[in-house]
Amino acid sequence: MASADSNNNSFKKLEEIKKSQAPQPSPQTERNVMGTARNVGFIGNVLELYLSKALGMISALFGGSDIPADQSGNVKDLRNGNFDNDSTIEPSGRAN
Amino acid sequence: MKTPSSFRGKSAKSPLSKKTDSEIIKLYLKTQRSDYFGVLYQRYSTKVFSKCISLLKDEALAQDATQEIFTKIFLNLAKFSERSKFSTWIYSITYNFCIDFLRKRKKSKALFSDEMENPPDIVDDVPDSELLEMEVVKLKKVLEVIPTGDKAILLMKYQDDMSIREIAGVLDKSESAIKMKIKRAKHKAQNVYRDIFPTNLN
Repeated sequence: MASADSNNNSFKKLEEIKKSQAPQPSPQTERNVMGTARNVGFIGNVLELYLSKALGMISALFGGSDIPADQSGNVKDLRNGNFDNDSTIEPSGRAN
Repeated sequence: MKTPSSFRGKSAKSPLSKKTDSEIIKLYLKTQRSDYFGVLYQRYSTKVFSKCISLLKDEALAQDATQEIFTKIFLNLAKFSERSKFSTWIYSITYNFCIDFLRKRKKSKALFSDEMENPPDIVDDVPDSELLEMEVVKLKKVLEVIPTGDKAILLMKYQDDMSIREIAGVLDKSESAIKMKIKRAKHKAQNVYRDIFPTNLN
């Protein structure tokens, strides 16, 4: 097993020497990498913000409902004339 | 938006520089802010670049390779599972990229000594101490002469402390195949050392 102690490990010593002598990657490389990171991050944020809305719109265009699933049961009831769970209508039948 | 040069200046004093790699990755994945990735770039770009130069032996190619490696790292950051150190994960990607690149470029040339037409017969295992205690200047010379694959596998094991399992993952080989490759690489290094420095024979 290789020793982690750089005092007894010529590979580690060589790494240290190379690190001190090695040229840095060019600023252009850094700009390109960070540019990619920013662009991908931006596209990710845009998708996160608007993708769900776009999908909802497409779904609505094809006749689907853009109302979340947990609320769609209530809509179905209302469409069927069942107003029992509708909190907007008081027991007397008068709307709020 | 920060420019890389302004970021370079800030990184040393920034409180981010005190955070561990793992904390930075979590922050990046949570916020998707490129500044956090910039910190990781500052920490590892020189080492990755140095490894690329060492394996590809061409500074321009190493620049391109560094850029592609960091793009890969960035795109796969969410897949980093913390089963190994982040540095090990980065070096795995670096070695993998360079070895793949060399394989594509030198289709006919063997990268590892056990891929040569007549692989050397190995009887005894070379003790680790023989390599680890070699004079640095001589080790550097030996690593320049041995096949690039052998060099990579020795660097993975003795410089980056990667386990046999991790090396097997990088080279997509079984653990027993890796043990054999290490054995052959050590043997090759020892033979080259004896050829170059005959007066140093033990």
